[in-house]
Amino acid sequence: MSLVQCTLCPHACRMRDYERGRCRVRVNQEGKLYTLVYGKPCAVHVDPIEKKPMFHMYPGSGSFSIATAGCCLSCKYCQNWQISQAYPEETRNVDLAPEEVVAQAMSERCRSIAYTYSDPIIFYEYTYDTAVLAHQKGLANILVTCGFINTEPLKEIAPYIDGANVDLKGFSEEFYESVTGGRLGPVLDTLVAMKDSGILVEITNLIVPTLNDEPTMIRQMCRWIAQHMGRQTPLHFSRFYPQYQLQNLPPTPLHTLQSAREIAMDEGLHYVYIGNIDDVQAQQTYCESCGRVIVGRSGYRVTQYNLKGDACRFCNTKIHGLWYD
Amino acid sequence: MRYSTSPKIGYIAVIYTCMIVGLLAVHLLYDITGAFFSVQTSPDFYDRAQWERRFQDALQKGLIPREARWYQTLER
Repeated sequence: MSLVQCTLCPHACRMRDYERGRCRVRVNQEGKLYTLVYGKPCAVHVDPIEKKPMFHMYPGSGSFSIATAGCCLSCKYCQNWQISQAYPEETRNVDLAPEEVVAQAMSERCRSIAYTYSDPIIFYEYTYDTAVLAHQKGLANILVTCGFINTEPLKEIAPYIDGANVDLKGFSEEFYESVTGGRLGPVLDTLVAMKDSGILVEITNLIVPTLNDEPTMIRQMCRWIAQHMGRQTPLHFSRFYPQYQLQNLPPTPLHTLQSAREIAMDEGLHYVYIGNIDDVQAQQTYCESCGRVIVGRSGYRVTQYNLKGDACRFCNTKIHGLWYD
Repeated sequence: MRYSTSPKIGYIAVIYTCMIVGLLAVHLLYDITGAFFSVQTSPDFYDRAQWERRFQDALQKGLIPREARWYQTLER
């Protein structure tokens, strides 16, 4: 009987022979840990980068998006639960080696590859190898993640990651434990480590009625972001729709999202957006200095682009992000 | 005034009662089996045969194990 401990994420799963971690995709085979999803994505799409959402990174570009089955968390409202809460043998997978991912991304004229939908942490090895090759070919890499990863693995992959949208699901340990099966502390560590590594970080907070919509909690979260990540960190409040195990709750009221945005701006955050709704005003990027629209959006379409290099075309203020030359 | 109870009402009551009891039974059964089929990492629930079957199933479905980074072997 062998026993292996995974050190990739803070769950630190201990697995006996053939047992799997909580992610469902890492298995102990007689003393060695194996991933079952390398080169076997179950979702492959070309998405607008705005869908990730990454609003401060090459607006209007395509992002070649891949995911495998499994996840390190088990959010009760997961929007992709059919793949994230599945074993890889239960999903329909395709063979796509890292070289093929990069080649397809280039043939689709994508500017980046996004590791998304479920969580790239659990397909770490696949992400790592693909990201290295992508960089060699001049493609950017984006992690769309819950951020539940240990610092050492994150530091190893960070040099190959250009942008990340981290889902900060709430701002209390109680919420994390009861609704997501994770912990808040490690996610905050990840956010800081990513910023320190030079990764462009955008944060998404999905507001679930009655569970994480307390104005006090939202204010604390925004204050933490301003203090530890910087006021220029883009923050996306996202609307909840009844999903998976939380079908008893209503969609987030619009006024809750608008109020959250006001709180964030009141705490000094410059770039605050509302997603999953049709609100053009809350999806534009405004210059933090002159207040004019520098990136206009309608849905996932870019309607205006008023940057010159990395600065506002009107007042020349430098805007946080990765922009076109 | 004379009231009469149609036998139909009795049948309907019985049918509805059976349906509710049936639904409760199915729900209970789902909960019990769900506990067995959920992800198990606790040694108390370790069932090597079940995990080995799952592993074989994964191989049959074309998944190819590849050694992972970031782990430590505690016992061999």
